[in-house]
Amino acid sequence: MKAGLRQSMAWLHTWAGLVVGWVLLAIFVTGSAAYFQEEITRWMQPEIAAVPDAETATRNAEAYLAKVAPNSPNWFISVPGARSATTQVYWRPAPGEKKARGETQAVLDGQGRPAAARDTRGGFFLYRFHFDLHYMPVMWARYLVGVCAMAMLVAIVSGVITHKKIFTDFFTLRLFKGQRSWLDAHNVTAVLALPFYLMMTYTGLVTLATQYMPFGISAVYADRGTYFDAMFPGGVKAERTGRPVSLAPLEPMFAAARAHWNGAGVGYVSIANPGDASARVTLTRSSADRMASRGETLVFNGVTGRMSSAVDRQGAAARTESVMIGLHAGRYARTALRWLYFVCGLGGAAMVATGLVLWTVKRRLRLPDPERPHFGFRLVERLNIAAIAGLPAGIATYFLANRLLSLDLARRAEWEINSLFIAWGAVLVWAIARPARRAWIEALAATAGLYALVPVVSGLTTTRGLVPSLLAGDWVYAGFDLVMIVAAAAFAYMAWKVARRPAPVARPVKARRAEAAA
Amino acid sequence: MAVAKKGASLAQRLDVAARVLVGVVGSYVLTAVATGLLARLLPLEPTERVMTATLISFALYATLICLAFSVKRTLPLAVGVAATAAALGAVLSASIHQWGRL
Repeated sequence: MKAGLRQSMAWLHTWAGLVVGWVLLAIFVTGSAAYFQEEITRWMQPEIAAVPDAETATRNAEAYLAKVAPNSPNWFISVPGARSATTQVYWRPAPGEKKARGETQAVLDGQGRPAAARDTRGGFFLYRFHFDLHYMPVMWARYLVGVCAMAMLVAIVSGVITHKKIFTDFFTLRLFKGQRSWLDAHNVTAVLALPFYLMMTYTGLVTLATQYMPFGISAVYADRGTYFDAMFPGGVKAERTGRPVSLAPLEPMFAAARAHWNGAGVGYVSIANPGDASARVTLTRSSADRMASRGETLVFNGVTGRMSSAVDRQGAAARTESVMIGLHAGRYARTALRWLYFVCGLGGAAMVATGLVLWTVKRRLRLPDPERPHFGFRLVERLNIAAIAGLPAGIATYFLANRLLSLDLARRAEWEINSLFIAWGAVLVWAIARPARRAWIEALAATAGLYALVPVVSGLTTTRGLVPSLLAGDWVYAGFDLVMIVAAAAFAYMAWKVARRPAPVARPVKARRAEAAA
Repeated sequence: MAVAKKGASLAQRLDVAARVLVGVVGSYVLTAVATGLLARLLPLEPTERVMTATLISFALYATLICLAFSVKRTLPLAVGVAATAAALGAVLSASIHQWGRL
């Protein structure tokens, strides 16, 4: 293709990175936020204050299910971890009963009452957007995200080959020197957490591996279902006897499970045939307590409460996959490691963003007519503004909408999400309408303003503003507001940097060089 | 780095398009066939074979893409990718035909 290996890899790196850069940026930003999805959800439901004890909450959830779905063949309880304030339950409708999806699930508080909180999808939306995007069928979105992840993997490999002096380059950060600084910034953000990006990209592909590369299964199994049944022998199927027997208490089962798992907690409870003599309780180990993501399960007899099986015979490949996904999702991470995930993720966003900007900086001075750049250049320039300032502006608006939208608005949760995309779209329109340099400054400043508004609006509309939260030692709320302030400062700084920089001189490179030499 | 000097020629554009086609789609087909074959031939239990082959596939695909874009000329590359995929595909389909699937 090109003359040498490094040249061809440089070409591949540039173009593989550019075409998917904007989507990758969105994936990095929302993925980083998703590490704090539980905390974001808590901030977005200011009505719910207390974090319940997991076992009490589970017992209360069970009582709720017994009341609303006594004839259901299956109850599922997602046990609140240390970071969430609510219990999620859902159930299968009784045979012959027709129910919509929303009618067989509930979000409960610690007392087992439907949580009296505003309608929001909270941090969960940012988590799902990370791989499902929005306003498009989930399957297509996942293929699109997969293509982007694959391009990212190729960009990482070709990027490393391109920069054979990558580690030397790392120690030569030349700040505020135009193009050279953008290249250095790109190198620093890339090298600093390179193993992290490589791990995240690969494990991200693995989370949806059988969708992206289904041919391993289809070469061996005539029916995909056979593979999944063999791989994940879950769901105990027991025939309902029709003899009503009350369910054994869950606490001893939790205790037995904890003992079996060396102290690790329960993350998920599935109850088959509740209230019947054939009841089975399946407890799944909490993913907060181990790196592997496919939780081990223990099955208990729902009447006697005795453990009936403890099979865990996963093979090496299955365990590897489980740990790879666990590494990606980071559910096992405690506070310090969680912050490291978050910061590294934002470092990835910075790497993509500096790479995108570098593409335009490199080409601007070589344009045939810098006053009137060609269409491709303008497209990249404008999309860069829309992506780098627009999505963060959208996320800030999402948080503001959570505080400002009327609590009785129909389809309120959806409107919070729509607000995000309206703000993002507005920045795109702005970026197209204004001269590029002005658009950068204005969009970055507006984003800074939006982030600065979040703690202010939250303080005015709830009783859980920054000062009361700090005084009460509520670090979820205080931390959230402080992150907003840091984001506001970061975007204000960027806007200030762009505003201070002299406008690029629209002259060919040679003339500038000659001038400098004279 | 590679910057199109003053608009690439039509021949160059076609070459890039062909290269992208072979490098992205051709490599995917080759990866798919190789993954299928590995999933059948690895000396492991069936679920383990499938998972091992699937986990490796992305590394294989990335390597093939990088290789495809580092080779000098597009035509020999296309022939090479097609021939390898056809050969592995023949072995794979013969294996399925002979021993069937689970």
